[in-house]
Amino acid sequence: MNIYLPIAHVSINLFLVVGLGGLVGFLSGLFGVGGGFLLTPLLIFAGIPPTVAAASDSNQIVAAASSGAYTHSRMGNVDFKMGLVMLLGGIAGGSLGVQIIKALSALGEVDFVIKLVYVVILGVIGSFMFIESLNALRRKSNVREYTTALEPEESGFKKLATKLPWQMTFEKSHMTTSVIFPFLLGAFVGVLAAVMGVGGGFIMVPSMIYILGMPTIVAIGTDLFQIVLTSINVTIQQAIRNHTVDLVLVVVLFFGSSIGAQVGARVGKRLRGEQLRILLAIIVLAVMVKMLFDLLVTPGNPISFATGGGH
Amino acid sequence: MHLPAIGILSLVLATAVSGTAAFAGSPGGLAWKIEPKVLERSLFSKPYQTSVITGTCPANAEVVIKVVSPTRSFKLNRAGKGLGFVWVPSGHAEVEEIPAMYAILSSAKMTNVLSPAEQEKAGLCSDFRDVFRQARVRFKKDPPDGQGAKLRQEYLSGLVRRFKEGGLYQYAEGAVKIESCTFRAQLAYPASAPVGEYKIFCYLVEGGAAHLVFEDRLLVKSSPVIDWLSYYAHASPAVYGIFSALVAVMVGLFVGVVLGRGAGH
Repeated sequence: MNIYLPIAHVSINLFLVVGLGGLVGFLSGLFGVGGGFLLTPLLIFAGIPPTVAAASDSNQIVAAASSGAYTHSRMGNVDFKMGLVMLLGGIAGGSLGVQIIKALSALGEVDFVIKLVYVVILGVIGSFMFIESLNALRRKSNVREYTTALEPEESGFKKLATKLPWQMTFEKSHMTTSVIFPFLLGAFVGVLAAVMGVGGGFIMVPSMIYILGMPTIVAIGTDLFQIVLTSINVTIQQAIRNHTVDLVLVVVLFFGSSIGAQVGARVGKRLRGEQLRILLAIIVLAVMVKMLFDLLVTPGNPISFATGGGH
Repeated sequence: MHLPAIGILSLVLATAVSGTAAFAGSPGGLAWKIEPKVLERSLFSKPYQTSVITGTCPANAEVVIKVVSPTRSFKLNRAGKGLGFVWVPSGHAEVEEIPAMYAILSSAKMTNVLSPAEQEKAGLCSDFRDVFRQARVRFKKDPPDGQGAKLRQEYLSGLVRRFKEGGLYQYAEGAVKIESCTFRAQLAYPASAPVGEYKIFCYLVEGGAAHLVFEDRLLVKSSPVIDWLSYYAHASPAVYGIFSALVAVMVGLFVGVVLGRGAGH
């Protein structure tokens, strides 16, 4: 059975799209991290134009993060004050990112830049995770859970943040810090959200824990809360500026990812933290290598569509 | 004009000019039929939709069918080496007035029945040079002196190759079957083929010359749901964006409530 995507102008196997959503949801549930950074490249591999893949992924993240944020808010894990500061940064960064996409589209460079940013970000994150997990496996320090391993420590950034102006107390996170850091962090992730079509949790959560010093569980809940609002902004901006949000694709993907996440979470309970992380690192690096390969290998046809099809 | 209105108007036009008919003065008084005359693209359309063209033809004549879609514009990149090893877009151009779908189907090997000059005269060349002549290429930056024609050719050739890979440009010798003075051809329209009115030309080839014996229309249109989504995505993008975000939030909250846990992000 096929489904026609009215904005991508592609008819694609329905089960393939559900499967991709399910796979990413499964990985999301398995590893406890976002799947957005994997979904966009997978959609591109499946034949969805990159600009549509990135914009629709942002919209899919709205659905997925809403689901998670609702659960975390009920458990009291969301620091709304911190989330709002990050949201302001996220809106500024997201709007900037959409303008960057628009400018790059006009220059005909957008698909190349999306791929390049992916190669760099996935390469850095994947390598870091791989080395860290390998070291953890070697040390056989498998007693601590992943979440407890990420508990905050006094970082140089955290010390610096206490000396910057505009200090604010965040009761839920048990901390006082300058609003500059969370604002800039939100802005950086907002730009990535627009360019890569990701929620940014894989950058935001470690940054909140290691740089800001927030408790892990509050960082995850707050991250989801601000991702909902940032991704809504990116979705609306992408729809207005680039006309690339494919709602049909979003609904089908979310159907798959919501099921996959449940299965992944159950399977994940049976695996050790460092095993999970090294598996995820390998997947991230494999996607990166494929995208890098595409950039390095001589194209069979030097002429390509600048905006994914043009009609 | 509102998209559905354009679709209805096109449908009326297509119905008015089409149907089973005979051309006075055409060799053998040819009759033909195109089924279906309207292809509707719905949410569950297959990657290819098909229409069948049938008709009568004189004995010992060959049949060639040409299908031409509405024209579109395409923005293109030309890859070149950057930093010495990475393939980056090194040039940009927009190709205008080019049919997004173009198909030539014949009952015989073309070189056996038509000379290159006759093929060119009727616009039936295997390299689609008819299209190359009509299309306009606008470069983002003026090409170096003397390079314009070469680059134009490169962009058009590359675009046509892309179209061929996607099944949008077809050249199929032997795809028209003739049996007892009746011909039949089945044409596949990819999902990426544009909506609009397609022109269908039928030629009879006799004595080394191609005679146009009928010209008909076929309409490719979208279902109301696809029309609605496409229309609002482009005509009211803010409404569409807010609607998309609201749908996502509602679906996410519904799943969060039902499943009692997040689906990750």
